[in-house]
Parts: sequence; structure tokens; C-alpha cells
Amino acid sequence: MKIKNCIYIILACYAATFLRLLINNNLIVSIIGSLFFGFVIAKKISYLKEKIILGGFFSCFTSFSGFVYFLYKILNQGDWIKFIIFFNLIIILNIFTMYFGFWISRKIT
Amino acid sequence: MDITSIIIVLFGSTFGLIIRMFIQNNLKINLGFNIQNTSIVNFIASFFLGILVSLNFLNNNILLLFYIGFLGCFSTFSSFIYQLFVLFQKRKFMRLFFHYIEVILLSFICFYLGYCLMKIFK
Repeated sequence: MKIKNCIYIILACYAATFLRLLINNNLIVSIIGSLFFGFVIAKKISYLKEKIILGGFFSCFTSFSGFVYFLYKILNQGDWIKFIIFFNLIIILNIFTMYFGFWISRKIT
Repeated sequence: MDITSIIIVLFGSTFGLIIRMFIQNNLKINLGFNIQNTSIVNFIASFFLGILVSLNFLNNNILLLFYIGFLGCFSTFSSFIYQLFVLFQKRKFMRLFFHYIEVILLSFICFYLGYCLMKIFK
């Protein structure tokens, strides 16, 4: 990969990191990330743009470790039912949000 | 946020991004069943998170470097959801269900492995 392309990916990563810090809410970040991720994958984009937008921006914007830490905090309270409800709800919500973004993108173009 | 914190976050996120890209593009692990590279990245991130939680850092700079910078950019939730979305689109609901149970279970096993390992060494 060219140096210039690597710099673009890193810059996208920095922007995503600061946006994540600014929002500071894992659930909102994951929903926004899934919505726009779905929106982007519905479009035909070049390999480089895919790497910058999906690999650089959205992968750094959403955080799996934040999700695991959130579930760990619930599990630490000993509330198994809340834990099971939350992790299923978050994943289902995100899949449907991504589908919604995908659907909107297809409708627009 | 001051300049030092920004530099720390940028440093952590650069390393997280580079290591994730490297693993996603190069690492192929075959354990007899199919584990995608994104899942491997998330399992490793969960392991590191376990270590971090076990060490119970009070230092804000270390949290910024590892949790927000490194782990935030190393692990990826959107790619995990995308894996599930692809299975959802193909209407492979059983595989979708087993894949997400598998990822959540293995992530928590990795998390507790890191957590317990650090508790032993402490």
C-alpha cells in the first residue's frame, strides 16, 4: 500500500477516535456506526475508499472493547437477566440499524 | 483535553490501527472451524481489556493510551455487526445465531483469561 493511502487511513482513524471521544456513549456510537456502515456498503466504492471509510473510519469509530466492558460492568452487578437482554438487544438493534442504512442507501441511488 | 492527552490518544490509536490492519490482512488461523480475522482481533482486544481491568488503572494517561486509543482502534464492533449482517442477508439465521453466541462467549473467555492471568501475576 502506498504511503499516501496509509496516511489517509490514519487520518480517518484519528477523526473517528476524536468523534468517539466527543460523543462518549458506546450505544449511540455503535448505532451511528452501524447506520453509516450499512449506508456505505450498499454503494459501489473503490478498494481504497473502502479501506479508508470502513477499515479506517468506522472500525475506529465503533469499539468492540467498549461493548465488552459495558457488558462486564453489568455482569459484575450479578444481574444475568439484564446481561442477556442487553447483549441481545444491542446486537439485534445494530443489525437492524445496519440493514436500515443499507436500505436507505439503495432507495436513494 | 490538553495537547499531551491528544498525543497519547493519537499514539495509541495509530498502533491499534496498524496492528488490526496487519492481523486482518495477514493472519490466518485454522482451528478446525472457521474463525474470521475480525473475530481474532476482537478476541485479542478482549484479552487485553481483561488485563487492563485487572490492573485497575487510576492513571488517566494510561487509560487514554490503552483503552481509548489502542483498544478503541484495535477492536472493531462495526465489522462484527457486518459479519452478522452478511449472514442475515443470506438468510442463514442458524449460522448467525451460533456465530454471535460464539463471538460473545469466546470474547468473555479471553477477557477473563486476561483478567485472571494478571491477578495471578500481580
